[in-house]
Amino acid sequence: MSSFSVKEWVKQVVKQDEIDKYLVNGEDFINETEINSHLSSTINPDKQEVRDILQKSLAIERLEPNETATLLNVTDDELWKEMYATGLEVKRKVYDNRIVFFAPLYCGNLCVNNCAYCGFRKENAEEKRRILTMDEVVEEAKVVISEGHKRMIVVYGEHPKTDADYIAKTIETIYDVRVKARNGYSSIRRVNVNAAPMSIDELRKLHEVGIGTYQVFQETYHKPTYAAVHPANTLKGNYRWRLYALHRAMDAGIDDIAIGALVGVYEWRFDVMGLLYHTIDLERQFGIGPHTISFPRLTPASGAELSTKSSHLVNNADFKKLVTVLRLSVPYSGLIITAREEAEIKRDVIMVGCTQTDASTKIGIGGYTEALKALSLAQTTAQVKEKQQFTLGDTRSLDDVIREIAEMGMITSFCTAGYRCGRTGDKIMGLLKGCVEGKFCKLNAVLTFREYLDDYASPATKEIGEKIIQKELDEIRQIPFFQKGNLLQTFLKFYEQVSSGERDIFI
Amino acid sequence: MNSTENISRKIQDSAELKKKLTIFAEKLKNELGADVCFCEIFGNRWSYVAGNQAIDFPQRRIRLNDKIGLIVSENFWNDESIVSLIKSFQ
Repeated sequence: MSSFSVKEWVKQVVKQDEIDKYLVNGEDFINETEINSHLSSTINPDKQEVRDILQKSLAIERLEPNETATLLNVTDDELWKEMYATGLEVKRKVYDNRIVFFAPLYCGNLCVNNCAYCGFRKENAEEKRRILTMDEVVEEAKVVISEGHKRMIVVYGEHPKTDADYIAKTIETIYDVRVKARNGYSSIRRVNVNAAPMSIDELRKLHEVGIGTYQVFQETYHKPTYAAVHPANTLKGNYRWRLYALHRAMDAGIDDIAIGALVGVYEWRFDVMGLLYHTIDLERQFGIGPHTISFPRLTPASGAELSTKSSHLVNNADFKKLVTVLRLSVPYSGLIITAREEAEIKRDVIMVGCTQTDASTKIGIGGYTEALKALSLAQTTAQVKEKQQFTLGDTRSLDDVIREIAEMGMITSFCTAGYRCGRTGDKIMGLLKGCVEGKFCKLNAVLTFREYLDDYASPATKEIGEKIIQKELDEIRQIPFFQKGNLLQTFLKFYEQVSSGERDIFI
Repeated sequence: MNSTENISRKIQDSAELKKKLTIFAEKLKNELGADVCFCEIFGNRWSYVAGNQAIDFPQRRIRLNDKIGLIVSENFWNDESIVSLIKSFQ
């Protein structure tokens, strides 16, 4: 934890040279005139032109800005149906039939920023503020692990009390937690981080302790709107410090990075273009695109008027289009739909290409432990807006959501194999683009779903889960890729080992 | 300083090392028929650094020290020869 006063700490965060080094002729990669020109010059697109672009997506090639703009300008409902179907086909080619689950853990809501849409903003007097002690981090992690989770994203406000040293300590603490399961012990195997932009030296601290993915959302790429909702006298008011946060992560060795935009802050089509330009610049400078892309929608937040009164709030129909165009534009990146969204729209966007989601989510500081205590007293817990950054649309348990995913014919995955086997950075990007990684997603989904069914599942989830596992096993036995060498035999041996109670076996 | 510590230090110190390790991975392929890639280890994370990006599956992990690991096809079992060649790495 920093020894600076808050004011002193804020003054030393931004390193201008760690912005300037990424600029081209003094310019960043968001050119609003160019984006608006793409959007205005592609209206009323020709059907064949759109279908040609879909073929490019199916070939797992990233789209160019004029192509993404073309898709964003489609108005024909029948063509949108083709795009939805293509989105799912692309997802299955790259990531197979699995949905990866994770749990967020909010470690602190102290924040030096004052963002108009956020419950954590410093002028929100309604917010009850604190950070978790390491003992509390352990207790929270135990609850999450006991639900069956293996993958976590830790979230922090921007504040000296939750600086890089604190974040690194929480990551190490979480990795060390072990909880007894029906078979052996379970733990969090991958810790991803959502935290404020940092310097390269600070990011190295997170890399050193085994961070999974580092996630920073730009919120909006539209500079005038960004300036309007992030006061200039705050750290977050520095657009370019945030815009290049993930470039710095790359330079710190963190080669799994995640971008995102807060949907509803500005016009959604513009921000889809912004996400694409961000992808293109990361690929241009480092050869590696985003591991995942997120698109949280504004939901009501305590003491943050913009969260309910933005003139750019996005309805469900447009949200589905947004997800579809992202799926088609960056075919190889994961897409995350979170529990901000209600169950119905989550189902919809999973069917156009989302690859990850969370469940059993608590976003209050200490929320998991409090919910467990309430459960032991036979009480129910409502969301407490004053302890949260925003409100959730889906508060169902992990088991309930997994059962629903199985009813949709998909398999839940808790796989964390890739980043423990060197499948990171440009290597995993190559495997994703070549539609190879999805094959391992399939195998590891079966192994980790077997663990879940045996260790945590309710009888109802186990019943339908067994059918899904059987279907996946039948497919694995038939697919020629798995017949090469001794891959199938190795997998089947691993499956037997997991079925017998061995844990954390992966390919 | 032993050879794996040497690799570890160079990964941290030199951007050029990636190229050298790529060449070294090719040497392992040519002399031993071993498809390998080098990883830097950070806790649970094995970060790809250099080497073959398309190693046959299934694969095995060989931990050379706390910081450096190799990924090798499970079909290749002559670990001693790999380690021996690594010792010759300068």
